[in-house]
Amino acid sequence: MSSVEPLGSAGWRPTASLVRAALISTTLAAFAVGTGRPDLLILAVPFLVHTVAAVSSRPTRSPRVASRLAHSSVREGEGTTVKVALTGCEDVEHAAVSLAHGSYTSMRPASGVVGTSEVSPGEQINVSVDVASLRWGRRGVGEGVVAATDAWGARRWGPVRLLPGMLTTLPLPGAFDSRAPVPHPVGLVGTHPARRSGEGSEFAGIRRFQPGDRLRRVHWRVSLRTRDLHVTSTVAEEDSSVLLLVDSGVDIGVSEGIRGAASTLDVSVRAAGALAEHYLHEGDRVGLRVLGSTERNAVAVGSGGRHLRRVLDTLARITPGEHRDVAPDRMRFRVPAGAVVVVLSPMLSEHAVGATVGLARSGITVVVVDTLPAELTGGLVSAEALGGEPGDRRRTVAWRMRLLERDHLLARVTRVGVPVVAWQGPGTLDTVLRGLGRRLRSPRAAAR
Amino acid sequence: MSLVQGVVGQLERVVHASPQQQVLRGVAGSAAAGFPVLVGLAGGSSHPWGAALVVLLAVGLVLMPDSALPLAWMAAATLLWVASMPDAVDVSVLVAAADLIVVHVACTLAAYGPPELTVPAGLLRLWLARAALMLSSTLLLWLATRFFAALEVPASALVFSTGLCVVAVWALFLLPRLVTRDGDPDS
Repeated sequence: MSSVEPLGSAGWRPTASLVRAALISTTLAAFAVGTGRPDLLILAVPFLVHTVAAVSSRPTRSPRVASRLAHSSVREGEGTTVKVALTGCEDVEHAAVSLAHGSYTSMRPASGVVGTSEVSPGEQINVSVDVASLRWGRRGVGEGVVAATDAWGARRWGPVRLLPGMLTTLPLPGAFDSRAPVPHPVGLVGTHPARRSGEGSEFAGIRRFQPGDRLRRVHWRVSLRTRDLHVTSTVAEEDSSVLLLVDSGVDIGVSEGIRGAASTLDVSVRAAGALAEHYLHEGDRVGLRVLGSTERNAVAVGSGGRHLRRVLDTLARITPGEHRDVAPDRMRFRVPAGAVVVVLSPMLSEHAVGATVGLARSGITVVVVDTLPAELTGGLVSAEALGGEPGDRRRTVAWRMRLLERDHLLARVTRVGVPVVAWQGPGTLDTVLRGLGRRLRSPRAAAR
Repeated sequence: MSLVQGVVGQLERVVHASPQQQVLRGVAGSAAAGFPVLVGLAGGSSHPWGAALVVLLAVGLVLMPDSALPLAWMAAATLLWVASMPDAVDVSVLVAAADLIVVHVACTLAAYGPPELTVPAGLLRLWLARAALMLSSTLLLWLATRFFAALEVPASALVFSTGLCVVAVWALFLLPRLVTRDGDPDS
């Protein structure tokens, strides 16, 4: 993959060193002859040697350069290598690569500048710079310049611009675990206890033998006591569908990558990754919808390891911004029957609240995971934490007003019976999922 | 951008440069700033303004070794030599030539890339050998000069004309090589 662009015309140009040696040697020699001073000729000799050596070996061809990334996708915090290869280097004595410092990347060496004078047997010079990606997303990596110098540091080729390669950084899913069953298991096989009895491992009761029951299910103690065959029945185990709805409309707070502070979108994306990883590992089906301006914004419900990769890849492509063309109450999410919708949102936008309320009103089980970090919900939030200048009081006052609006939006969500829980990693959904399960099993008042 | 801002920017680049670059620039600056002292120790006449200019340009070449400042320093230093040392072929010429070589090679190495670059050790050794070659050539000519000085050969118009012709041919040979580019232009 060739990804270079010459900065102006390439070719070998004399360096300042050669120009200096040539001018000083010639001028001093002329003065020495003109004034009859041998000491000036002695001073000119070293520069004359440099100049003669440099001009006696002129480069005949320019190198060709190609750069590529060793990997096209990595996880947050993982690294890859920017490999720059110069071919046709018979005239090259030294090559240097300088990569630009991009956002959310770190390089080794930290300066991103590497030089080498090792020419491989195929007249090729390889320069590698290690680059680590510190935040999820898709960004160009490897932009910079490359230059080469010939023998005696006399001429320079380049600098030639290296165009960036696109690196997809998959979000590193946060820690998540849940012991609570999903309320609507509807599939054929899985790990969640269903409402019907069937083949499973969880005890449901003891009942009379029916044709088709397996002999190993016979409960001999009860059968002997009652003089009639009884069997142990179990609850069937089924899989379920989980639809993750990520609100990318707003991104509040400062994102410092994997090792620093997290913005609301960071929390949402990493939480969605964690939920997807957990439920797919449990054998469930998981889908994804992105609520915002992100171009690729949906992954159909599916299961398996490759599906997790699809979900993470879509999460990595999220860009903050609202989709203003679509009314929130008219959005269609194509929620599969029996699926639980987990909305990951800081609940700061009308779009997210409108969509959540609309889903809940249509009878779908919805849980909201509040992804606003706790440090942004207190009364004393600094302007720096909001991405502003220190002491920016207008920003802090505006944020307090925004929090009041958020309380109003959250009240709208809870009024339609949607539970809201703050993202806390493992166990975040346990209480609400158990509560939803109880609610679905409890008798309901019917209008007559 | 004002001159002060430019100097501050260059100082920041030196501060963030690799340790090797800082050493190279330090060596170049020390050798360049030490040239007037060397001239004074060799018994040259005093030219305070010339010495001040040389020191000022020495500071400049530390900040920008890849610019025309080293060339300007060399021009100023050799002019100072011409003005201070009338026709000296003693050992001080050798020391002055060695000083010029140190400045020239250190600036060349410092200009191989951005300030953060660390030049490979193999290339440093190669340049050490090149500097030794330059110095040994100088030593040979110095010995030859001393030899002919001892013979007290009278000045000759033929030698003078030949010398001028050689310099002129050399300049004509060099000129196109300094202003044109080599290799494929469409790389």
